[in-house]
Amino acid sequence: MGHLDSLYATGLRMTRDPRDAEDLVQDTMLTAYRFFHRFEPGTNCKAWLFKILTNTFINKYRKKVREREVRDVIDQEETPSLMSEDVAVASRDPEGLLVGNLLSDDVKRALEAVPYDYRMAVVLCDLQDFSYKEIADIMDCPVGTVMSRLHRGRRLLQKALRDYAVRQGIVKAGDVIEFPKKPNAEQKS
Amino acid sequence: MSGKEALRCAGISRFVDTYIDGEFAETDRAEFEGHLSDCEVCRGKVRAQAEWKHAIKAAAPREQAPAALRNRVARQIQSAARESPPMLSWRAWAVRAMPAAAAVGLLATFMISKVQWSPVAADVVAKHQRLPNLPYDISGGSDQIKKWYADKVDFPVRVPQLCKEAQCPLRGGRLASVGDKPAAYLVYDVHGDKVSVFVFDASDMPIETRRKTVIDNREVYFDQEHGYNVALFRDRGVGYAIASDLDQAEMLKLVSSAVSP
Repeated sequence: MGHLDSLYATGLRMTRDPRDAEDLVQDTMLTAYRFFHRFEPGTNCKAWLFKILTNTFINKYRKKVREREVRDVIDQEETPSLMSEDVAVASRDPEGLLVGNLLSDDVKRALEAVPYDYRMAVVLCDLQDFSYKEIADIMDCPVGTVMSRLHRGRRLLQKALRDYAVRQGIVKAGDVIEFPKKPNAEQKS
Repeated sequence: MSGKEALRCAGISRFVDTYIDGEFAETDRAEFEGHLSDCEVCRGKVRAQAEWKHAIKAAAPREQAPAALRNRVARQIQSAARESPPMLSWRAWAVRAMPAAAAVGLLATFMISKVQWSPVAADVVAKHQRLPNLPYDISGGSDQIKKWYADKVDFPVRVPQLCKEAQCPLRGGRLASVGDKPAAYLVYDVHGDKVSVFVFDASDMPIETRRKTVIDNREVYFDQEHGYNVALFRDRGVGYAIASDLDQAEMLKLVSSAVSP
């Protein structure tokens, strides 16, 4: 069960809910066990488990998560809109990438604001170290699609981090960001 | 910077991601690095993007699976291992022969490979390629076959009718498995083509695929593996998987007949 932590952390990125993530991982492991005689030695075990995780999520949980998201959108007055074209600004502005003191909570929150397909491309590549080919297998799409999702996903994430920093009052929109200090460090756990 | 160089930068900056992810082919990488050595602007972009990738990974939340989840998964796999259903591949036998705890370890260590989704579809297609040509354990009418299975599997085997009995006669059946669970296997002759039907306990068996059709209020999932078509559905907790090399339209007819006789 060496990959359980990675599966759980990724399940959280998918479902954004600890209980759903636990159920998802449990379903994934049982499916993996049931079908494991079908799998031949020699390829990537972690990639295989992640494919089962992804398919289980799409088949069983995505609808539920979507419904919750719709509710959340109704509940929240202001939802970050990330699909606008000013995303391009972040990518033209390397100083705006907020490389400094990134906090785990900020990254988590910013990832949650990125739509599923883009978010998962970034999670699988940058957090879980899968190759483009492995991500293509896991997400069941061509490598070209992985590349474009990843490109856009990273820009969306950069923008979300920046928006978040702006909302926190750490930077003003349009500022060149240097991240002088940790934002509200005492409020984070 | 000359206009021509700027154009080159614009063209090349699209590939900064590919470069920092180490996904370039050797020749493309050499060309890209050739440009980098001449261009401070692109070097800056690459540096910033690489630092960002590093920073995101370093700051990413790394939740650990709760101990309760870990225990639940271990218990669940142990109880699945205890059920001792028939399995056909040698590796499956090897797994069952070893203690469940070791099986859990094996799961983490060797388990491996490329899954063809859905796993149920992949499994039944692999068996469909082999089983129709093996001798049957039982042949005869559907009542006889149903009775034969009654004391061999712990779910009711309702023998589906794929079309009018005379047009696609049931040739026979044998015990088989789907995943690690016992299944009743049935072979039909549909206009000269052999069609396999697997009947199995579908509780916590993932039959869902992305191609879903609703026939007569029942969800039917389709999949394709190695050129074979598979249809999967549930009926009163029992799973049915139909595999054949018939095309989709013909499969749809068989399934319609099976779900609403």
